Amino acid sequence: MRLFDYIFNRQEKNTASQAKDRLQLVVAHQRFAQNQPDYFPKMQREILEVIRKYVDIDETELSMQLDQNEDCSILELNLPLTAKKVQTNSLKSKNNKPKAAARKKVKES
Amino acid sequence: MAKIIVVTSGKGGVGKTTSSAAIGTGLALRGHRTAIVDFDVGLRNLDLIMGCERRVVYDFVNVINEEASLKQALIRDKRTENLYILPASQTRDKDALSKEGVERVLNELANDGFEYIVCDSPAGIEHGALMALYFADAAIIVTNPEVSSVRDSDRILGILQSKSRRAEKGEHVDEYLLLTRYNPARVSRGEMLGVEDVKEILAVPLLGVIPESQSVLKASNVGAPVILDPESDAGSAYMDAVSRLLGEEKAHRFINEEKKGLLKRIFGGKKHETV
Ligand SMILES: Nc1ncnc2c1ncn2[C@@H]1O[C@H](COP(=O)(O)OP(=O)(O)OP(=O)(O)O)[C@@H](O)[C@H]1O
Ligand SMILES: [Mg+2]
Repeated sequence: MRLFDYIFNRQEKNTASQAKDRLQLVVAHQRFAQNQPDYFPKMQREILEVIRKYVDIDETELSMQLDQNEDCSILELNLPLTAKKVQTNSLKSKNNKPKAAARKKVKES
Repeated sequence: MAKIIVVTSGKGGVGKTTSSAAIGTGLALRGHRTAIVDFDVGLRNLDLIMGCERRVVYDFVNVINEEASLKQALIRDKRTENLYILPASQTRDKDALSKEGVERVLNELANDGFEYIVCDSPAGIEHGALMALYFADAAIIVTNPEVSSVRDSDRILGILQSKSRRAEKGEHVDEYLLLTRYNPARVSRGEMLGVEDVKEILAVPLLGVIPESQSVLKASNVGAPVILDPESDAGSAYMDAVSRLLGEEKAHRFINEEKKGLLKRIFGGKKHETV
């Protein structure tokens, strides 16, 4: 029950402004989703799967947009990575192994 | 064995999603592993009421279409242990919920050890509402003390008794009446149907009376189910309803207008004020 006190008291006077903030995000998403091509959600998920193979991500932070201008379309993807700074050696270890193995093979051959 | 509970009403906007969120959370608070499933395809809102809208990646329809696993789509509630949310899809294809698909997902939830599966039904008596109630073991009929809501509740009771899986097998669905947005002051002034009136017309056992309360709007603003606000009248009324659902005896509260004492009348009663 403590938690609830925290949630509510943090901005006790103004839960409406919290509602507005939350709605702006949801509505922006929704409007975008209405105009996107049909393949978009699937493409987005597949891209996420690929990224997740290499680094830890929080997919709720993803923003992906397709901007259509008169003469070109731009796909913009923004995704903060969970780790503060991604270095080559901080990539998920399971992915390092096959890489090392692959390198070895090259040497051997 | 999982118990599947549909929260339904026929009429729109009577408090199904508010009630699904509160009761599902209440069951989890009482230690039962619970999933709340949003059946309102195209008009998802449970995620907002539960405050998990930013964590939706996959949804119910993705799981039915095998584009995601159930595990990927279930959102674990961050505040309440034992609680999971399965969001609805925003697709415009309203037939996206196939009966076989829904059954498979419900079975998988049951096999996963969920004790309660709360189905938040869309309004109406179309496909989505039928899918939400078809597999139910129990039904919570959310009703407002108002003529069209009571009539629609009766209509949905008829559908439960003829079109649900249990009905088809000659078994019965446990039915509970949940009277929401109740205003005792207006009832005592004779402006609003009273509990006894509605009970008499629908002839369904009363699970609870949820007063019309400012705490509900506040809870939805911040995305936390109102039952987590134990100080509020609506929150405690939902808590009582959960106890009754679990078979406990609880006297009904918030049915009668609170008689304000002199001090309260001067300084204003805070806790149980109704809108
Ligand atoms: N006890 C209550 N006191 C005050 N307001 C309430 C109460 N219960 C519900 N409401 C308000 O009523 C509105 C409808 O509630 P809700 O979304 O839960 O209904 P619903 O039956 O799920 O609607 P729909 O049929 O569109 O799915 C919301 O604005 C909600 O805040
Ligand atoms: Mg609803």
